[in-house]
Parts: sequence; structure tokens; C-alpha cells
Amino acid sequence: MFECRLQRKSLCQWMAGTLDAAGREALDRHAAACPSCREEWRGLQEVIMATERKPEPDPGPEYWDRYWDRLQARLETEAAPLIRPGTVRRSALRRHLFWRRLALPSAAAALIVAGIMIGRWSTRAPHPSVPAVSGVLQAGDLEIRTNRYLDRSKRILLALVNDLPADKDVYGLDLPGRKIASRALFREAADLRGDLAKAKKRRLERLVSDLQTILLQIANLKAEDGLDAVDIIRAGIEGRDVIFQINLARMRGASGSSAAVLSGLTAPPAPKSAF
Amino acid sequence: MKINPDIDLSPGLEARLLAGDPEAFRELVEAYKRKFYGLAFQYTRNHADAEDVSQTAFIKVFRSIGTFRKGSSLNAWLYRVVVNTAIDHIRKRPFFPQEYPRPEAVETSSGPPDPARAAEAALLRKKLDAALDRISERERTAFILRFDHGLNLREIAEVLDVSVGSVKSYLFRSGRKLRRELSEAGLRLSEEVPHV
Ligand SMILES: [Zn+2]
Repeated sequence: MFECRLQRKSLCQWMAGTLDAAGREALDRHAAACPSCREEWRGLQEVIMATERKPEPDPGPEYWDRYWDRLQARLETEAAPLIRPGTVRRSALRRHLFWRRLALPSAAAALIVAGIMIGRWSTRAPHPSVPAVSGVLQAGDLEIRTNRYLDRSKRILLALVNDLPADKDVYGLDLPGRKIASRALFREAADLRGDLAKAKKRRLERLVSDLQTILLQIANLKAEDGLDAVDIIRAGIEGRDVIFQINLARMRGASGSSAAVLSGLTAPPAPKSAF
Repeated sequence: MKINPDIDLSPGLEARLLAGDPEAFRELVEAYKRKFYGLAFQYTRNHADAEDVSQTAFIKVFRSIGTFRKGSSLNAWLYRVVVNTAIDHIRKRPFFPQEYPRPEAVETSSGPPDPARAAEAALLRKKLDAALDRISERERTAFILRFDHGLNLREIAEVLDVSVGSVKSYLFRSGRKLRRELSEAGLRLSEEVPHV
């Protein structure tokens, strides 16, 4: 009986994968002579084997191909922090004090790089995952698309302007989500600008172009750039009065079009996959 | 960079992730989506909830990657997020279905389909799932992480926030209980088990 109790401990080690060679030999010897321990060991082996034979749930390749698109759509609506009305002034002050202590000289350089990147990216072909827009696009579709674009961009900008830095991380916890959303919007901007130019919507095209610059700056933020980089982007948003311009454009666009208003309130559809 | 027996991450991914690089996050999602979904499915037992839980877990990873401590196990940290999300989810659910409908598209097997084998595997899964439901949450989590997801003892200890010794006893207890449940369910798993 004492030996059995000892060997139960070995079985526990065996189950955990930590039984050494000497222990294993002793367990083998005991199991050969003791039917009860042998049966117990055999039972544990059977359970592990059953786990190995158990099929994995797999919804199929189409599901996996679109997994990222669906996640990205959720990130755009859920990862951006909520705007807290009435906290803007106070938070701006606290942010200012907090960030001054962390000023880093590389911030301005990072934005210059971002500026160079814009030049390079703008000449690139549209992102392949964005379906090519043909000339048959109707004016209403363009309006809806533009409004959606403006609303999504505004959410990111507002989050950046109003958010308090979190304690643990210079940018706060939501930055990765905002960066991903910003990059996606930056990529969409090229197509949208082209269509707006074709439709002779010069003012909107300029607004989307301004947004594109800011979104790329956000997308390219790096932790080592420090919080001054965020301050520079904020200054850009405020200097160009971008949020006001968006509100203005939305007011013009929404007049008489309930569909356009609604489109700004609902989550954008997941981008169509290229295949 | 191998941080999970089944997952190969590109070197430097962890650092890029911590720096908030969106491409790094996407790479992480692509590498872990099947693991997240599979684990979520083991807790929720249906496709819609597994999708919801796995994506919610990724969003949490997004938001809280800044709280990950450099030098600890990223794999364990990720699993911890999924396990906690899944457990929260099933606790909030009004009831836990005993007969869970299988998702339509689930179960794609490589190789030629063999109806008898598939039926046997499905039965086995159902019995094992039912047995897993009857052991404690910690024992179940330890068992699934060890034998389905290949986490090592230290990682499981991090996920559950317990000592390695406790993980060992959870594993042993879960093994014994599952064995009892399965034999009561009348499942003869194999005629002859080779000596491992
Ligand atoms: Zn014995």
C-alpha cells in the first residue's frame, strides 16, 4: 500500500510529463506487479489518447480568410475609446503636464519621415483588398462612402484629441487599435480621393487629403517617438480645424439624406476580400 | 521564434507588438486565430460564441498589450486573455446547453471522408466534452491547455495564476475524473493501449 501511494505520485508526474527515467523504471516495475495501479495508469493513457483523437472544430477556409476583415471592422468600432463629454479641458491640461516630462527629440523627425512616406504611398497603386471603383458608381454611393469615411476618421481623431494617457504606456492602451484603423483609412483614401476628383467635389477631396496626412501620421506612430509626436499630430488636427471641417461636410451631406446620416451611426461593413 | 509548439512567429514580433506596430498585430492574429477560436469553442461549444469570444479576446489583446510584462511568456499571456474572456462569456450566458448543436461547416478533415470514422470521432468528442463539463473549471482549463494546446506547466501556471505544483495536481485530478466519466459513459477507448 505504501508503494502504491508512492507510485500515485509518480503517476501524477507522468501525467505532467515530468517523470524522470529512474521514476519511470520504478513505475513500470510496480505496474507490472500491481493490477490496481496498472489499471489507473492505463486509464490516464486512454484519456490522453482520446484527446489526441478528438477532432478540432474548423469552420473552413472561407471563414479563416475573412477572419481578419471581421476583426478589423469590430476594432474600428470597439477599440477606439469613448469620448467623455466635459472632460476635454481637464484632460488636455493633465495630458500636457504628463507629456512634458516625456518629451523626446525624435518626435519631429518621425513626422518628417511620415511626410516623406505620404509622398511615396500616394503614388502607389490602390490597396488590392479595396475593390476598384468603376465609372458606374452613382452619386449617392459616393456620398455614403464619403460620409462613412469622414465619420470613421472623426472617431479616431476625437479619440486622439480627447484621450488621457494611461499610466502604463505612453500612448494609452488603445493606440494599436487606432493605428490599425488609421492605416486602413489611409489606404481607402486614395480611391475615395480619385472618385471625389472625378465627381468634381474639390472641397471634399481636399478634406480627405488632409485626413490622409493625419491618419498616416497616426498609423506611423512608434512608442519610441514619445508623446511629443502625438502632440504634433494634435496640433495639426487643431491647426487645420479638421474636426470642424468634417462636421461641416457631414451637415451639408446629411441635408435631406437620412441614409447618409444612418450610415455614419452604424458600423462600416467589412472590406471585401480580394478573392 | 517558437513560443507555442504549433506557432512560429517571426523574430522581433513581440517587440514590434509592444511598440504598437499594426502589421505585427495582424501577424499575431493570423498566427493565433485558430488557437483562439479552438479554445473558445471548447468553452462555448458553438460557432457563434466561439467567433465572438475569440474576436473579443483579440480586441482585449489590442487594448492591453501595454500591460504585458516583457520577459514573461507572451504565449501564456495570450491564453490567459482567451480563457478569461471565455469563462466570463459562459458565466454571463443564461444557461449552458447540454445538447449543443454542431456548427454546420465545422469538421473539415484532410484526407478522404470516412463516415464510420467521422461518426466515431464525433461521438468521442461529445463524450469527452460532456466529461470535461463535469470537472472543475481549473482542472478543465489545465487539461485543455496541456493536452489540446501543448502549453507547458509554467505557462499553465501563469494562465491560472497558481503554482506549478498546483497545475500538476489539477492535471492528475482531471485525468482521473475524466477517466471515470468516460468509463461511466460506456466508452471503451481502445482494446489495447500501447505502453507509452
Ligand atoms: Zn499499486
